[in-house]
Amino acid sequence: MAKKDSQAIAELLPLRKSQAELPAPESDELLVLALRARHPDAGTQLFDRYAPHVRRVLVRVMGPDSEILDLVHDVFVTALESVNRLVDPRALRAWLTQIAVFTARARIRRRVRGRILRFLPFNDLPEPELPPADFEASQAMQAVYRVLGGLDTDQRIAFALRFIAGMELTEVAASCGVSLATIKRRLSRAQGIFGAAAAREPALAEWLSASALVAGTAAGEVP
Amino acid sequence: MSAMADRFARLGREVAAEQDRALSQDLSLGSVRAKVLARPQRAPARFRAGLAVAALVAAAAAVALFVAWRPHAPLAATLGDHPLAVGEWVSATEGDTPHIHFSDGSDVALSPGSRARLATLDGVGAHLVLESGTADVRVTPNHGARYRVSLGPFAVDVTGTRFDVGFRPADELFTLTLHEGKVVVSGCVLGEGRTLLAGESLSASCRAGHFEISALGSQAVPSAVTAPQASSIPPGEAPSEAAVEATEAEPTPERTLARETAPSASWQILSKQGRFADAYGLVEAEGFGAVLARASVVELALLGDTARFAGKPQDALTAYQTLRSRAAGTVAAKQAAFSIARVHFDQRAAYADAARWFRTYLAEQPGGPLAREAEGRLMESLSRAGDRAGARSVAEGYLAKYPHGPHERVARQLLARH
Repeated sequence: MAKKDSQAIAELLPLRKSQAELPAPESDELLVLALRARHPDAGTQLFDRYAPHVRRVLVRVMGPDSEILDLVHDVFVTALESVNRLVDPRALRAWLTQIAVFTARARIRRRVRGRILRFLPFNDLPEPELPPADFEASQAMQAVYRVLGGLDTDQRIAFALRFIAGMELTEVAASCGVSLATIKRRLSRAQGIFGAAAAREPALAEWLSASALVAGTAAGEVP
Repeated sequence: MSAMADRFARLGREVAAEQDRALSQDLSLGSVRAKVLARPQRAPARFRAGLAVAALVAAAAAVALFVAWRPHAPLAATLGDHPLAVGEWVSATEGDTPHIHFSDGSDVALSPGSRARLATLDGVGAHLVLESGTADVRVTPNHGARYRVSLGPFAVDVTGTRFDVGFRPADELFTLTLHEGKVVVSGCVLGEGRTLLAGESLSASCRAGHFEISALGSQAVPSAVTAPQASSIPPGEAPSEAAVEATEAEPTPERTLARETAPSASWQILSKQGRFADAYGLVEAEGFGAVLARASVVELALLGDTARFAGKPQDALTAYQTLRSRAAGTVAAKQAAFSIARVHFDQRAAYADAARWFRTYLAEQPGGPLAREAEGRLMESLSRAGDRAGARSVAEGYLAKYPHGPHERVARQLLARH
């Protein structure tokens, strides 16, 4: 590890020197070094470079949700406080994706627990967390996330990353911090449950019919 | 992938496209950024013993970085005597040349009729978006200073310099005259960046697909370059004579486009990559009407955006209007009203039409994600269309609803004038 870092620094610092007049953009490796050194500008660089990506991952997993910005905040606070745990600085983007997924999962689980607690006596109830949509979504989108809400949290996340975020299976596995085999199992179950539940959603019926697939292909949908 | 998985994927893409469309018009990350960066950073959570050597190396690097990248006190921006907040719009009315002043001594003077927004502000610089008009920019040279001015598809990165810059959305014309220092200009036909030196002047048009560099006080210098299409010359490199010759030898833009575009690339992919001129070139090659006829709802929105950013306002309007008629009542159709308004405002200077469409958006999505922006721009549209009473009325409503909104200052200026 020490050798790896020293090599990276040896390679990066001269580059930095030659670009001193125009600091941005920097490599992820250099950015991680600056973050570890707690340089005051490094956080800004990290946020500007990756906030749109993090928000997109969160939106894919959570759907229309008023707490997306709070979650973005939490992801970056976590990242800034735990950057020393990042083994390979070149994997910064994947690492942030994983933090975003874990943050979303924790929030979903908290909400699920909140729903269970409603069976407790009224006085023991916490404030309900009922996230209103932060933008008006189409009926299809609302239906998708309604169906996803009925899935187990891990299955929901796997489904969202695979089919909505369009990630490869290996990417989904890495983002969830599990093996490829585990992700395949989760996805298999998620597809079965989603398919059955979606059949009861009028807004999704057309999307999931065989004719829709043919029509979509014929219309030259974006690959 | 199984047939059912294919259907899930197709549905997922549609959902993702809708989400991206909403996100592309949402500027709210700025507030999170401020919160994250304002938070005092705690010591790193854990240092494993096995990483001690690496930590020492990192510490050594930190010293080197610290020297090269010194900490700076947070910058502040003011407009006149008042602080200017991130996200706030500045609109220069006729006869008005407002100055945005930064605490490091940097200054941006907007010409009458110009519109700008302070997008970000941090310890080493700022990001200013000049929507339209011209500005005289003076950035105080500081070690590590980093300013960026964005103008439509173009961006100017500055470390310390003085220049005049302008952008005309109607024909996507970008101009820059550099008096001192050095800047890097990027975007559209300029690719990832071209360096401009003191005494040089640059004009570029995304729509026409060309740019020209000339020396101040002279005609275009012999090495002036005309690029038939985006990135036909490697970005960031001075074009060689051979490159210039090769460029001039290309008889038609279509040939250049064909050479630069992978066989499998579609206009949709190019558009999503921000290569709007290239994307529109493919649309034109296939025929705008044909593409329009078979586009899905999501593609209609993308087609409208592509035409808009490629400087084809009429085609953009056609695509958005088609979307509204084909998918009436959907969120996409409602958001198309906002896009139509933007085309009228930014590219046609048809302010009465812009006002009508901003009103349409507000009527259809009163609590929509773009409502605050629509109301602010409605106010500006009415003012520019000469409807002062209407603008004043909207300004009052805006301040009541969004007392600290990005158009607050514009609203107060409008009310103060009467």
